[in-house]
Amino acid sequence: MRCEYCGTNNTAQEKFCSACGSPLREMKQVSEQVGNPGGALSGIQCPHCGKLHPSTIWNCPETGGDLSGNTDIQMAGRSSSLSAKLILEDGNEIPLNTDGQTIGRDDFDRIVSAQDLPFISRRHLLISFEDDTYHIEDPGSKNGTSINGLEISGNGKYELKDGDQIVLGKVIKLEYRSK
Amino acid sequence: MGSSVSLKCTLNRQYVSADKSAIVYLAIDILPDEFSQVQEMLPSAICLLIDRSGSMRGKKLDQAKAAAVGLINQLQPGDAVGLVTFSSKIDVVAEMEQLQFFDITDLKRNIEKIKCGGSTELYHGLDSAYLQFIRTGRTESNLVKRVILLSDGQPTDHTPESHFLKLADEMGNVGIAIMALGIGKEYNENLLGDIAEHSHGIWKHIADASDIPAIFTQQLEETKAVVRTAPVVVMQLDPGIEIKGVYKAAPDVYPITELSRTENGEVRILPGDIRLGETQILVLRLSLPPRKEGKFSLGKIRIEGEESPDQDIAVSYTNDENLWSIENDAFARGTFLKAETQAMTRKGLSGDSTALWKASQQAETMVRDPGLSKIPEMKDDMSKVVDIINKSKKGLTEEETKVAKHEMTQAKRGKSR
Repeated sequence: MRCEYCGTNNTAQEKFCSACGSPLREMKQVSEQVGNPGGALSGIQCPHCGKLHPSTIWNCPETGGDLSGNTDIQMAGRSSSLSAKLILEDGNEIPLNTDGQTIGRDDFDRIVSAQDLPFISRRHLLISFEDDTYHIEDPGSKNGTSINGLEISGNGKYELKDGDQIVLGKVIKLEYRSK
Repeated sequence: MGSSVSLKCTLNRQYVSADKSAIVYLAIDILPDEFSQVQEMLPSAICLLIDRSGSMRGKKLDQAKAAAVGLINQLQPGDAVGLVTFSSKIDVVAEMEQLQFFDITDLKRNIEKIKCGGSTELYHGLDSAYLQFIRTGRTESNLVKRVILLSDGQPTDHTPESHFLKLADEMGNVGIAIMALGIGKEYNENLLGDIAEHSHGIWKHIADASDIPAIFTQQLEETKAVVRTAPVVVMQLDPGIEIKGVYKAAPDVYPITELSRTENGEVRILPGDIRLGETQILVLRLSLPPRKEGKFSLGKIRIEGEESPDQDIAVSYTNDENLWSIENDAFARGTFLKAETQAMTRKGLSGDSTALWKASQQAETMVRDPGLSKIPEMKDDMSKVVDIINKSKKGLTEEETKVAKHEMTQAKRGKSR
């Protein structure tokens, strides 16, 4: 397991980093869902906005509310909303949901290398679900987004089609799969 | 010496995995005894060391003179004071002496006569201030010893920084703390910061010359609040245990890069004078060797000259994963990481972009670390670090950089847990 503080790779049995002594934590929910096709979302339910947030953050990204006092809960995800996803080159997946979501640096934390992370903006992509299709929008990220080689940053919504090749900040390659 | 102080040691883990090496964090709280409040105040010996180079001309020197007179007015019989100025040459305006032996009118007249001109021979000025204590035999431990240094410029004496640090170390070892006050944007805050830390003092940025008298008064008040001078934390660690890093974490924050070791393997750390009601905190990162199951002592910690019993710190090596997978108290680790992040940020603000990048990564990781969420002020302090780093990326003026660096030397004061 990779230490989120110093980046040292530790064996799966370790609970504390052998180099810096920090407690090791499971990767974020997005990667935990790989190999869990039944689609269970986990996280902390925000008392302010009701959404589930990864248990790795303290504040609700929507409302800024405090999450630290809330315990982790498991909630069954809707299979229809979990089938669509963005796949990274290494096989890690980011599931898309029909409620609309923001994809940004936090979603890639500890999935991509620390060198690549700064190229992803905090709110890099907005995902929306309209007329039974996913739409993607780059509201103006610093390093841009291209789909099949076409730059979309600041150019409004783009309808995703199965197999679309998405590149974030010129470094992170993703593929859209509708199921 | 002053009143007695006690120690409280906490490890972040009580259990580690048997037959494996491990990294643990240790916090050492040094707190003055509650009874100290009824103690008599310790007398102080203060040497004022004032820059009178050409650039101090005008308001800065006028305010410095007013501040010196103001400070002398607030001293009590039994306190000693000296005054040295430096420019191209060093002038001892007043040899260090107890207040009652001065002709105060004469002293004030001599202060009034100080004129500006010349360069900034800081090293010799500092050395001369040090000699004021040595020559008059003022090194005893029941005296609170301070050099209050005021400068507005980069030293011109081309003395290598290592010489300054050696001198500051020497002063720190006899308990003379340098209060380094920098004014304006020209002075070298890295040098002033380093000599302050090496002597267990502080550095402070003064934005406005009219604040000088108030800051001198504040320095005097802090001197008067000292209930115990220069305690020495003595650690006898068991063989096999390595110290991987040490920070002073409160009330001010800086790395302790050089540890002195005695012949019998004891490590001595001087955290600086203890003020009334204020806890000093040292944090250490320790590497433990693999051991078989059982409880092992890491070593003993005590304050030199104190009668209170040694603190015995121990961990249990165990095969029970339910025990060794838990961090019992994240305070020591969180406090260490906070101090490390602040120190890295300071380095980053001095132009080391890798340090700045690492600091921002670490601060963000800490904000997400659920183990640290219970530590008071942690989130606020780390958000402040992130904020400072973000601002610095947009560009800070020289003066803003100094203020930001100074903030990174501070921890929340006197908060006990």
